[in-house]
Amino acid sequence: MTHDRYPDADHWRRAWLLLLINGAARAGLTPIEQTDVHRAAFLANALAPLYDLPVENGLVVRWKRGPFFPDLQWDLDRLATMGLLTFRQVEPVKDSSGKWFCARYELGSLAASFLAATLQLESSRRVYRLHCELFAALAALSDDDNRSAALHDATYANLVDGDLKAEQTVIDFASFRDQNFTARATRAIGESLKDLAVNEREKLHLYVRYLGRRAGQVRRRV
Amino acid sequence: MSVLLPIITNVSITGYQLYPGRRQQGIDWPVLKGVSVIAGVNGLGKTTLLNILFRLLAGPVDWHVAEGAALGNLPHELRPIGDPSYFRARVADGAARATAAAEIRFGSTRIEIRRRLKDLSIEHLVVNGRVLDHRESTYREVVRTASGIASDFDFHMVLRLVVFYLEDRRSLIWDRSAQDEILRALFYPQNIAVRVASVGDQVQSLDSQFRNQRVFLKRQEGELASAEAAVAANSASRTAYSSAQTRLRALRERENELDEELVTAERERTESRNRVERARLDIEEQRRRHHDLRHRFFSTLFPGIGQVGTYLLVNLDGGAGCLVCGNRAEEAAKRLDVCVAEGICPLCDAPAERHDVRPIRVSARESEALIRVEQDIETAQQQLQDFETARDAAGERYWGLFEEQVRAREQRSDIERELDALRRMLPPPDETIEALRRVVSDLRRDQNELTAKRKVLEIGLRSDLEAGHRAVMAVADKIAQRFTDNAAAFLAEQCEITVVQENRRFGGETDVFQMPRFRVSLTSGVFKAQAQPRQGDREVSESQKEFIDLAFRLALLQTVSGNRPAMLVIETPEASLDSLFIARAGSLLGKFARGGGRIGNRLIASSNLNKEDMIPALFGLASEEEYIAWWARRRTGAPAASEHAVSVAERRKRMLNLLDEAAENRAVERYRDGYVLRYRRALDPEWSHPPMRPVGSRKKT
Repeated sequence: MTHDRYPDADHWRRAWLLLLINGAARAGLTPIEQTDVHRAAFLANALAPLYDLPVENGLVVRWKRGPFFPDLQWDLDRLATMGLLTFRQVEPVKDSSGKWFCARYELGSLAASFLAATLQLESSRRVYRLHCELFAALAALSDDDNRSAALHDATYANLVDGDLKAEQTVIDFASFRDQNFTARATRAIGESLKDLAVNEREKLHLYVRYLGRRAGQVRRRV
Repeated sequence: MSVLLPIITNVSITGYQLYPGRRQQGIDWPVLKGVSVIAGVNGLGKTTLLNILFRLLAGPVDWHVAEGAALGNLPHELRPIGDPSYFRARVADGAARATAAAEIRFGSTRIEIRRRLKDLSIEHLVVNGRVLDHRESTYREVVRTASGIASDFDFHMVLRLVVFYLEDRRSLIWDRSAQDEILRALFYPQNIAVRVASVGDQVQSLDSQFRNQRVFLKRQEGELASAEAAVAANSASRTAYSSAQTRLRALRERENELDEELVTAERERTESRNRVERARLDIEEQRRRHHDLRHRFFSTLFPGIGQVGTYLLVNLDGGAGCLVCGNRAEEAAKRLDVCVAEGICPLCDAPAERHDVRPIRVSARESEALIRVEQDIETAQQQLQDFETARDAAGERYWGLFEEQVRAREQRSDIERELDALRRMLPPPDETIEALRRVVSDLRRDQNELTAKRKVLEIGLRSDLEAGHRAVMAVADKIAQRFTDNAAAFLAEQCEITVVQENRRFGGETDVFQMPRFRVSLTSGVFKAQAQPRQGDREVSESQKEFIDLAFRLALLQTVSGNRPAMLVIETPEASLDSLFIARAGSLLGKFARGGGRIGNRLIASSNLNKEDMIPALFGLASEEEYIAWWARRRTGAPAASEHAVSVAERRKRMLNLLDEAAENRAVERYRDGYVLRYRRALDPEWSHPPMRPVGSRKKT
């Protein structure tokens, strides 16, 4: 996906990512671990239609560490070396999924001026509102629920695209096809509460709260 | 036989909640010869009562006339009443037991009729003392015989245009077609009046059929002409049509194939795309393993560089690219590999012997593992490249097929349009052309027959109209004279009517017939010396329009009835009269009321007590101004204008006081005393009595 005011797709993708980390910072969730960045990036894409925004990346693969976007990881590290983000707590770790380098990120010293320029554009401001609300909703959950919320999302955990336990299942929700169960779920929330006339922000919070509750239930069952 | 007009000599209404009557027994009102007045205030039911009088005579039927428009060539037939709930809707009990009865006279024929107000059906019918069956058809037959009016329609029209002058009246003198109709109904010999109405309707119907059929004929002729032209150019069109059909069939087959191919291409495109995505994650996994194996080496080579530095190096070494500058070319990783393998500093290219640090040696096991991982990465990258190539090829194939499908649809649409155009150029089958020829021929014959039938009818109609014409001309001068007299009472300007011959068609394309019609001439502030002809009601003022129409109706009534009794029912005449003319109008209407020989005319007027001058005028009293002038000169008797005044006792008998007879509304409840005072003043105005002498004044001797 490109943006009409950015010279190429790379620039806009990195601006979008910086806006995402900015959302986390405003909700007090930075430094943020890379796995959480990928999960939030997936939710931001799946929820984009709720804010009348285009989906930046409509394709995700179920991986053992949750949603993961190789290009986004490259951009994340590049932003960190460019000074727009800062690395925090880079360290090799070993967990149930194996050994790997875990990095945490927060806004860098150059981020403020870049964000100020980006937010001059109305379309960027809409992305900014979505990202801020997403992290505000995630911040309201417990740490465990927050981390697992994306794994219970209607698009990520859909049964149409195969067994939930099967790794490397490719889920196409807005690339070759348009099958965004997350957007449908938020619409259903609106319809079931039509007497209350809930707005997009309230729908997002209700949906994320539902994901958190679902994550808690599953964890307790396990 | 000349026409006799109806008069009502008695009205009674029982069981109708709107008129409980002063003794709660309803209304029983003898309509005496001369003037009778229905007095009341707004909302007490004056108009409803006048409508009851009308419906007692007319029954539950209406004519087919559009609101506001001229009568035109209307069909001479009646239909059920437009608003059958008119009387029901005005009371709470739906007029369940309400009846209205009247004694009606046509010359020596006396009809007693009682109708149910809920549906206007007849409950009781007596003619000259003989009880008849109470069917509407019986009543109408009696009316036709007694009145000498040719048809039910004509009787209804005479009631609406001459006898009743109600608020919803239609114009008469200003509507030329209405004049034709009323003159026919009142003055044509009875058999001719019936024939003119009936034949006129037939002529109109034939003309209408002729013109409707001609529209169809023109269309059929057009189709036949196109079909015959197509026959001439048949061969070339048929070849082109056949060729286009063949192309269309081929294209549809290709479209079906494309549909299937696209399904396969879409599946391949998705699968190859998914393979690429999975391969990228595989590589990511391999790199993690490589990071792990290299981490220990770099952290001992650059112990002070920290975890971030190490992270940059393991990324570069693992083949992800240089996070510092963004370079993702493979050479960057290879260079680092060489440095690591030969112990060269990756930053300044110094060989190992010049280093003052010694990184721990990579164990043989680690080395083997690294080689395996690097081989795995290389294999995975190669595989990824293959998958990407396959994905791109699948994408190209998919989009190629998609574009072909779009093009095929456009071509099909073009060919279908071409086929449509060619189909129109193809001649229809021979039997269709033959059928068209027959239809056109039949329609032409029908057209000729319709014209011939109409012509025959028009010959008879012309002859009847001439007879009618003579009958109208025989009374035209009388009508004109009476009109002039009547108009003088209403208008200060000189107003007269003259009969002229005007053209009339009974349909859009029928023959033209000469009709005698009355045209109005009137003086004005500009034309003082001689009355100027007025073509229509827009050439006079609103009040002049009404007075002239009323004067014409009165003239017709007077002419048709001569010395025999007639009746005029008029609703609130004061509504459109200038106050200075009220006395003169009252005098004229009073004069009409005094006519009618032994049985006597009836003038029934409703009047609003808020305008009390009209009622004394109707009873023949001179105006207040005349009385004041009279009392100033004399102290006894009455002004000459009151010569025919009705006595107070008689006036009381002739006034139906709705303040007592009708159900009280809020206004009467609240202001009854004031309304009663107005009623008394209207009945016997103070100014019609000699003024009181001032106290203490002395009579002159």
